[in-house]
Amino acid sequence: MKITITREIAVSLSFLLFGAGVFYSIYSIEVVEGVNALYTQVMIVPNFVTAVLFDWRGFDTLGECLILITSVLVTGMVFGKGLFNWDFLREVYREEDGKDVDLGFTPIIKVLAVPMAVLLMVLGVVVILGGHITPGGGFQGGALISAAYVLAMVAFGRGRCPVRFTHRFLESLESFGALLFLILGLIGMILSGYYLFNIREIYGIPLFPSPPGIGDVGIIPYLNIGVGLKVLAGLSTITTLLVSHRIVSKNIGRG
Amino acid sequence: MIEYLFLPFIGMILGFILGRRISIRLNLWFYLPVGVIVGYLLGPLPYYNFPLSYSFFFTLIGLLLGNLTVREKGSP
Repeated sequence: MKITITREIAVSLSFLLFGAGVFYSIYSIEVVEGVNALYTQVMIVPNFVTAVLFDWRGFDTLGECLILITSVLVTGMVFGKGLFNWDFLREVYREEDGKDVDLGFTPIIKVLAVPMAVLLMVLGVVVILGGHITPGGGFQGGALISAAYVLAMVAFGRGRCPVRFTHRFLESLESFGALLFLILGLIGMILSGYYLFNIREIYGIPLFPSPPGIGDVGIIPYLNIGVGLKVLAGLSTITTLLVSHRIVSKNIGRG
Repeated sequence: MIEYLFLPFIGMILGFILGRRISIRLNLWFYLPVGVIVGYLLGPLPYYNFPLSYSFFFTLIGLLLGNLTVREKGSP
């Protein structure tokens, strides 16, 4: 009961904050002419790609995040509470041990899967962090980390998968990513009057210290991290639910 | 100095969080040389001031630290 009330308060606050942000921005929407030239002159962003991705299209990226949240929610409803009780989640994420089917992969796959998954995860983090100056970004990096999880899951099966992304862990990442994006947007609104405004520094301290020549990148790497964590959590959750088809089928009608 | 090391530091934190979630013990003496080789093959990513991607290497160190110190226990 207590958890439900806390959750409802959290959801209401999120809706309130996000709704206020969207309505305020729509009310005071204004497109500046030649904004790209302006941005590169004053070095708010290091290059055109970043200007387009996060300054021009910050709302679009936020919308993409919301689409991902919605798709995960819908998958959860189709495979989850919409048909079953909550207990199946425990079994899906192996708090209770379920029997697993060994598909008989060769030792080559099993030996290679873990190192490849580890390196993929690290590469995913680097792609997320370098997203503001190199090709890549939050979505691509998150998908890479999620791919590492899928690789381990395919090679070892759900029960013996060495990469243990629990339900609570994925839930935390998803919430943290979304909240980080929303709160950074709100900070921009408080300091400048524009939602998701790229703040370069606070009291002379750069928000994300970068080497000279790149410029102050402001909040963009943090937005990338938020998107990356969200994508990682979303894709991993969907994968876990799809892989656990047998448990899900077993629980149909029990709710 | 902090300009060059801030990004790898954030990478280490993220790597630590992920490394904690790998339930088997990773072999330090296998992954460190592999990390250097892969970092060299990646080249100067994302900053162009060093011949190998030290961000990759630092993130890998963070992941190994997370795995070797506070990993989630349980049979693989």
